[in-house]
Amino acid sequence: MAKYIVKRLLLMIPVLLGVSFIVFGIMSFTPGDPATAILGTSATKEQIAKLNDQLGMNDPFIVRYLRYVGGAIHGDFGTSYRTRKPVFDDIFARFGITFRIDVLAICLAVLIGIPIGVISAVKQYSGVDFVSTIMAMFFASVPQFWLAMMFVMIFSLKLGWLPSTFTGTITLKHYIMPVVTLAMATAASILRLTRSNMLETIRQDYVRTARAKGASERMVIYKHALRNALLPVITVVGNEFGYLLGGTVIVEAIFGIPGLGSLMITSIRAKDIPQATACILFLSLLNVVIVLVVDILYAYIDPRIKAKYMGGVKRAAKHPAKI
Amino acid sequence: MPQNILQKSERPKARKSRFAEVWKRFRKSNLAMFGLIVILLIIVMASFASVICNYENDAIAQHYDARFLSPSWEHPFGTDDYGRDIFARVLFGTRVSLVVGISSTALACIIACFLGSIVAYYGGKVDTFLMRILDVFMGIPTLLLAIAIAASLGAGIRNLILALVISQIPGFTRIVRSAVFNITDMEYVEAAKAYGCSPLYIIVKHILPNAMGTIIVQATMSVAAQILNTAALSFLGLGQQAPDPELGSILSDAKEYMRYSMWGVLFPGLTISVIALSLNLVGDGLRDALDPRLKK
Repeated sequence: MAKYIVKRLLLMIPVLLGVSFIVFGIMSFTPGDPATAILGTSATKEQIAKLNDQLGMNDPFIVRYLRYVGGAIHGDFGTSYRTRKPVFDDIFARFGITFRIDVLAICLAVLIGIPIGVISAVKQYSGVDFVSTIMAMFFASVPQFWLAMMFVMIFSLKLGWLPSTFTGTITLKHYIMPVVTLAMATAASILRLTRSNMLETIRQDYVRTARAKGASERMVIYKHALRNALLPVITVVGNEFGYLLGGTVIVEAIFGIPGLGSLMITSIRAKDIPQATACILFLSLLNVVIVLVVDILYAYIDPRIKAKYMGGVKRAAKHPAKI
Repeated sequence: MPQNILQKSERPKARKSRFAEVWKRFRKSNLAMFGLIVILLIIVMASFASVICNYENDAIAQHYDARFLSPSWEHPFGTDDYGRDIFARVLFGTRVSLVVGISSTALACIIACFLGSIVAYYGGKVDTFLMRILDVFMGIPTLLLAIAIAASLGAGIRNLILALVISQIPGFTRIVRSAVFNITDMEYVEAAKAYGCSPLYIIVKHILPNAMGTIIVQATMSVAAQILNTAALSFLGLGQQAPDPELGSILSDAKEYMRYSMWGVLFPGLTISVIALSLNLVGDGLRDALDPRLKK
């Protein structure tokens, strides 16, 4: 198991290097320059040229990128052009709120998606199944920012129950709408996947065997079928987290949440390259780490994968289709 | 010679029957048919938008005497803060969304088919190399990548399409690759190789048509996702520029005045949801209809 984890951790390094290259590239090869962004349009051409030179903007792209990576290895990801502070100051200050919202949202999505998915599979073609399938379809198709706006209109403007922006003292009430908004689409996809996996699993031979040997229906569903049906769901929960990280940008924009997403948008707009790069890099790191954790969890739970690395003999099964 | 004639006359028949078979199964699903009818209706309405409404007068011109009107026969979706007819704006906005969603998916699909079939066909080092690069792209959450590209290129429809194409290529390629993988081992591919057919011919003639089912389903769902993403990016101000309407930007305008009027929020959002929902229903129906496990 340790070998597997180490291997996956090592594989993360090139991925992160690649991500930083892409993000740095996107930020560099696009119109506009940071000096104009810092000094404003009132600055003279000489001032702008001088500052650009100071910032090293006139060096070739590769030189700038290598300089960036060199700094990053020593923990220096640059200073923000806007605030003149190390970029990670702002990121760490804002990370907590984004992370809290995302984790709450994913938990809520799992709590909604899995139980309803299981019920709807066990009672296939029943009223419950029909309603939950339609609801899942609907929530998978609704734009998040629209859902957020509808919530604000109903619960803040009409009923006055919940605050619509993150101002004043932050209480649990502030979190309800952003978390629910983010959770719904994810809950819908978890529900659909749980349902289809469960339906597939229920038809497996070993479930029929369990029934044949006289196990109670409860036992069959929860002990034999559910465990196997949930395995692929775990992977999806990991992938959905990445989707949530994207969704946070939009939800943060609507509810005025001072999180990483809004920091990223502001930085990109202001051509604050170090800050924007660091934001996307950090969110991607989070994404990659979560996927890794989920994969390890998966390997830990699924005896088939564990066996590959535990038994001493590593069976190479890269492409099952090719064997 | 007679054998040749026989083959030729049989071939189109066999193909037609496969399509008919899929269509027969697809038709059985009420939800999928509902989705298909709704999406076709929306496409027709969006195509004839300029016949139904006048772009300059209804969607762009400002009428300060007709602000915040509730829905009526004259203004089915009401009017916004500039007195513009929301129905007309939604109609023209839908046209933009559909064009962006379909064109970006089509482009990404073509590129993904090319990349995916090449890596799956050749396998080995080419495969490992390209998949590692795609892994890197997959490390960045899709929407974040799209936002980053669109924001740095600057607002505008062309940049928006470019951002959406680039951000969906990695996921799409993976799906094409895994679909093609299963086919490259088929006996008919081996037979074609033994015949001395060129790889390009084999990929285009033998492999892609058989992987088409998976690809079409994915593309349908992708259009839905891209329409949602288009709206989200426009909402952030990265798509169509004012005063031209786009579903996301209409909502972004409506956010400013939603204290006074709810119609500007309700209808454009419902429109996006209905489009995405119908496309997803069609995609689901297609997947069920194409599912080989159900085939006799």
